[in-house]
Amino acid sequence: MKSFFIQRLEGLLLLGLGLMIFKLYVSGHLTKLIAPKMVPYALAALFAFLVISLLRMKKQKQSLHNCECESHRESSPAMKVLKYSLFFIPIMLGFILTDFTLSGEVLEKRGMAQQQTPLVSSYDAGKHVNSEKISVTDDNYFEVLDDLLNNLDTIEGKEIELSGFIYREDSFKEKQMAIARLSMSCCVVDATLYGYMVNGNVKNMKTNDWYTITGTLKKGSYKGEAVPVIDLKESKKIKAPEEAYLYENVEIIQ
Amino acid sequence: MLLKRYTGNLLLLILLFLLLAFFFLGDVFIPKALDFSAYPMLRSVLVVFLGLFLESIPFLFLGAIASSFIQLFVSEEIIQRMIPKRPLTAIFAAIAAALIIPVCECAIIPVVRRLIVKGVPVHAGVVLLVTAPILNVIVFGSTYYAFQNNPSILYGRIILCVITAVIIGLFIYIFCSKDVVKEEKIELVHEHDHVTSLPSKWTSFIDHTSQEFFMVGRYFIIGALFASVFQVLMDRTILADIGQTPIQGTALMMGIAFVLSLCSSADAFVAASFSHSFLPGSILGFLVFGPMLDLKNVLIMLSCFKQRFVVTYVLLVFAVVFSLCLLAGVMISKGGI
Repeated sequence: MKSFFIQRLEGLLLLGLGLMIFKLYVSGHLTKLIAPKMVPYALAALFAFLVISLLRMKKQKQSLHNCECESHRESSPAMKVLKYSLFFIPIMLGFILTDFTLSGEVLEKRGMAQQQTPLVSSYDAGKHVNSEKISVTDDNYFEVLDDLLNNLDTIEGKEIELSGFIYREDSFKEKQMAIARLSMSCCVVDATLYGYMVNGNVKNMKTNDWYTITGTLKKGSYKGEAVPVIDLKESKKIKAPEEAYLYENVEIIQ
Repeated sequence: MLLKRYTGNLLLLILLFLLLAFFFLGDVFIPKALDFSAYPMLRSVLVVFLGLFLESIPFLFLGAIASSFIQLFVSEEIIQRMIPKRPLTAIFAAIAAALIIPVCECAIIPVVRRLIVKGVPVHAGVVLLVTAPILNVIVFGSTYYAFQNNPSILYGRIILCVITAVIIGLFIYIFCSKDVVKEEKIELVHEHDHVTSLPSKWTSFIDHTSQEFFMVGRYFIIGALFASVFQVLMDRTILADIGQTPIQGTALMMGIAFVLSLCSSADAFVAASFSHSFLPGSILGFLVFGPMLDLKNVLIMLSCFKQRFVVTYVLLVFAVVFSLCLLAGVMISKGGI
């Protein structure tokens, strides 16, 4: 009888896991935790969980002796329930969390990645630097960053427009900030911060708020690395976008 | 007895009710009662944990399915016939198999355990454990993109992984080739396995998959919790200042890879963000050691293998990867590879 209880408990937990994934998916939060390319796997898991959960609820005739691989050894049922209760942690988190952003302090501990860009598609190198005004979108973010890093000496005076959230480190001066984006390749665990240093009258722009800014480019430095720096001309506060992350979509080429 | 049955069912009903209540209302009432925005660090730990969990859970489940499949449908005789007798041939066969199998570290551990139970020699199993997470096309792709300016990282990662696998495979063959799998009882239970008809095989397949999933899963949850605490609390900008010398740098990067517990198809981009403050040899340490061993998969291993074996394995992998990366670092700085 006990093992039937455990069997149904497993079914219930699988149902919970399925519901958790389902809820995150329909409310649009799933892509704040895992990259779009991982979503199909999560949905397949959701489907499998629900099916197996239903099958677990049914009483099986020979299940009693058939596969109690570990239950021979463990005596106390309370202990067993305790072990299963670990699964309530992710289920409950998925149900109750509403804010899926990483806090500013955490980002500061990671620092901005500047030197390498996770460029995943081939493009006309130099395309963006040669145009007079550079507009940065989600789609060309890494292309532009790569282009600018490769042509640091010729970008002086070019105009750039981009959106992002305000990021600051302790060492930044009063007239310094960075306009940053987070990028993920598999899930929020590997979230990496990319951004541009911005100089100008930025005192009133609050850390973590989203802005669209325009400015002129010049060569500068961040932690001793040569990077493009923006002299701020205009800024406009915007709402945080639904798709806050950039995704590094690695496709296998050839 | 009767009473017991009812308490069990009652408990399950209450749990079901709670689940549904939280499903519908969890994000309405709880955030008001329990304001996470006051504790940004705690919230970040929980978010990172949930991300890690959601990313890995499909693959953990896939691993459980594969493991049950092997248990029920692949007989010992087939495996005996397929595995080459000579150790070196078996090791290379395992490397070739790792190239074909497109799974990462979470899924491979229960599968390897099941294979060993079914009679695959330990040295071949261990080689699979070491190489499967690194030797696949997705990992090659992301490493290539993340290190376009420095292709020696990609080649280094592949070559070091293969060399590590061969060394570890041979070592295991010579020194500890038996009695590594936890709970031999599994075999005993299934020896009197008189399930032959297909429907009941199907039932025990479901049974097995679910039990295996929950057994591995709870270790994974503990590992993921630890990993997400480290993820959030570790100050990477300070670490970067320490890591300029080969020995400290490599040890440090391997340590970071261990606690961060990234998925092998994503770690290259994170490694790239370290690349201006660490030497190439140290970066290789991160990229080769991380997929083989990290906080979450050591815990998964503990659920599958005997403690003594896990300790041997951890020390061995660390020592081999560490020395190989230092050598590779010397070769890269001389313009080799």
